[in-house]
Amino acid sequence: MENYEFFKREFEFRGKHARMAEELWILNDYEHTYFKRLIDLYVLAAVVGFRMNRKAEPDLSPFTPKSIFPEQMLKEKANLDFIMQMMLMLDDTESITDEERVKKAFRGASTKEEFDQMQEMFNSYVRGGVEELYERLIVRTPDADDDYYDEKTANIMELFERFACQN
Amino acid sequence: MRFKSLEMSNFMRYKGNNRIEFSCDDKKNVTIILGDNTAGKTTIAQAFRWCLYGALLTERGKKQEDYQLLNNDILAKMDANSRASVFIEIIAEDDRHVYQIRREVQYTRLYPKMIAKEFYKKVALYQSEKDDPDIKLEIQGDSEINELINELFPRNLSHYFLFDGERWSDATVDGVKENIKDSVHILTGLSAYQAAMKHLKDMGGNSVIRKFNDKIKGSGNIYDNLAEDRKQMERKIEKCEESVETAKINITHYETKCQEIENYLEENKNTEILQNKYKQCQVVRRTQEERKNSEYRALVQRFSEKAFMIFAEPMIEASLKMVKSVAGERRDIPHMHQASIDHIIKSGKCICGHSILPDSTEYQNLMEQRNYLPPADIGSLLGEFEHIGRNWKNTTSDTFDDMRESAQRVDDCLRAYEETCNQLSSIETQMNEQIDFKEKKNQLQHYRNEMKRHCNEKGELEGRIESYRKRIATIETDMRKQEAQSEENKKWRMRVEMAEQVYARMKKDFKEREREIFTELNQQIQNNFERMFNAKDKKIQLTEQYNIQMLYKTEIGGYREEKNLSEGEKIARNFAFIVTIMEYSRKKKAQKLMSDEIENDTLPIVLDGPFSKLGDENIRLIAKVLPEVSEQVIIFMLRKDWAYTGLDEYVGASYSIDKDADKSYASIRRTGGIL
Repeated sequence: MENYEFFKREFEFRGKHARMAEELWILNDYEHTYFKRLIDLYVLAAVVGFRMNRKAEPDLSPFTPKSIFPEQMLKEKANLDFIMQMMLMLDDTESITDEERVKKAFRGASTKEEFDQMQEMFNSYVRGGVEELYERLIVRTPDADDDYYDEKTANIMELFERFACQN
Repeated sequence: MRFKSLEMSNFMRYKGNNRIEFSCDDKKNVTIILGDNTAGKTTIAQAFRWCLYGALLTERGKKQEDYQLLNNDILAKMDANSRASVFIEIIAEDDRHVYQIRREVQYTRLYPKMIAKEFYKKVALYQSEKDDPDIKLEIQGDSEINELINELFPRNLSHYFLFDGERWSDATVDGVKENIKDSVHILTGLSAYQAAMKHLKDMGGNSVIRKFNDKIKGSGNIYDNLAEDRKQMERKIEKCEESVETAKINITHYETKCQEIENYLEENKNTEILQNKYKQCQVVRRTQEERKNSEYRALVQRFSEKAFMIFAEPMIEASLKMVKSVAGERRDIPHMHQASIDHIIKSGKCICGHSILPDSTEYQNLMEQRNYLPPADIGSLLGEFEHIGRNWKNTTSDTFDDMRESAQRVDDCLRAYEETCNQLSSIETQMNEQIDFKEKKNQLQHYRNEMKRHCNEKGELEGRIESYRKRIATIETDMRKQEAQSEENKKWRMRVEMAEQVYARMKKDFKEREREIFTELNQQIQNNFERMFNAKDKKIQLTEQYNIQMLYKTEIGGYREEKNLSEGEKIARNFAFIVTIMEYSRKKKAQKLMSDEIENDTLPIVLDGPFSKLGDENIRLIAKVLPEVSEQVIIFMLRKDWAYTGLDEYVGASYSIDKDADKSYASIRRTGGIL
């Protein structure tokens, strides 16, 4: 595991996901941005993508990529590792026993191949999550019976109600 | 004068034929037509105006051509070859005659567009004796018809007797001040004096006196030369009079312009207050903007830091459940690995101080603990995992409520901020309109100068006319000396003198009566204003030109004119005026029945939405006066306002305007004699 640690490298949103990220995260413009940092979008998108069981392939359309640098990744590594462990346990694409799942989650990747496969699973949930967040925060038009006058606030709270209430 | 009936065919929103019979009863002289808003009350008022004068009352910025007379439903059903006609027929009567006025326009359609094109139009007027209605005399020629209509219902006064309370606010139509004085003279009978005087002397070469004078023959060249001089003088007078008329028009024009700018400046004298308000608003907006941004920041931060934790809760629950099912009860020591035990054994001394010898109890215990540690056992990692999961849950226990509060604060701040922005933009608009103060003042000065110039010119012209007249008088004295001493001349001379005397007497009488009527009307209008509006601190009065001024009581006991009147005040002022005129002519008519005075008639009053801008008490006071001062009252009003009028006992006929919500046209239904 020492050699194959997750979340130590740079991550890039590419293609349509970069375009979506650009609308969801605007540096230092709190009136219009939905996230404080780009990494915050990355973390939340992973959870939302997994909860919606929504994965997405990388998109290759020409758009300037948006990068999360390694030092930012490292700052959030503990939380990301935790999410990765949950994903490895709960992702049911492989038909293995619960015990094997738990062991896999805690042992981590032992080969390069395994590392890449696990990281790609995580990132595909992130991309699916970005798409889901884009639809719910940017595309959605608030209803007349929303409690909030401001569209951005209404959409954030609607998302919140949706994902925090199903506990 | 009374309206007997009004018939409309396909006129504006009234499809097909609709007929209203007005009450002509002496006591129950009120006809009411009740309708809801936008039902078509004003259209009936427009029907009167169009039938009488061939023109509608236009709204500000609109032209006659902007209004379509033909009913839309009828137009929609027409094809390129069909024709449809619109007509209004009014039957009116005075004490002796019945008048039938009918105006009609035929239309074709510019198919397939929804545009009606005028094809043919006609106005007809039939007059018959009241006692012998079957023998109708048709008045020939459009100008003769219009002249007679104008005599019966003076157009200059139409804004008073066809009173539109909803739109009527000033005695100007299309920006031109109406000559109310002439119209008042018609109604009060004074116009007959003026006509007689004009006929006798005031129309120059065509007047009676002038024609009599022409009959007198002179002898010799001197007389002829003098006659020629007189003609020249008269021509000069005519020219001067034309110029005086032009000057008068110019003076009125500049007077109106000055009045407009003065009103504008008066209305905007609070610019300074506005500017202060603007500055205050800007400060408030800055603070609100900062607060709004800081609340947004708090919301985004909270969302970024906590949302993933709270959203991950179901995942935590599920994975913990799975971990527990796999690992059973944990026996691990947190954060310890097998390597840690190996390190202790290698050092030969336990952390408690005992030596670790091979096969000793210490060694065996440590080796047992080593089995429960990772990597051989994942137990301690599970403990860490559980710990993080619990930590996420604890950290987010209040997040939901915090987010809601934070979102509410963002919303409140944003609303407050936007409200201030709107206020600022409204103040900006008001201030922008006032930016050209200086230019306005310059304009005012220019108009005043122009007015003064035209007044001087008029004065000079009038002076010249006066001197020409004197010159004519001298010439005529000289001519008399040169007259031939014939019998014929003597006869004409006598006639001229008689006509001159009649003229002088009429002029004197006219002046006296004019003064008398003016004083009486002025007194009466004040009384009516008090009676109808319970006004204590203000009064109204007529100027010599019959403009109505409203005066406010000042603190020192005098009165000053107030030009900035509210809509309600303007209506009150005009009501007082029309009631006064009606009352006056009715009184004179009563007197005429006893003596043989110059004929004059009263007008009916047609009121469209007269009370919409007045309070309940004023409605009651005004309504009570109307049936007493006018021979006939016709009112279109909102159903809901009727109760305040207290007019039930005067109602001789009542109608209701029906308009279904799903239909685009309205119709009129008689609802009875008395409500």
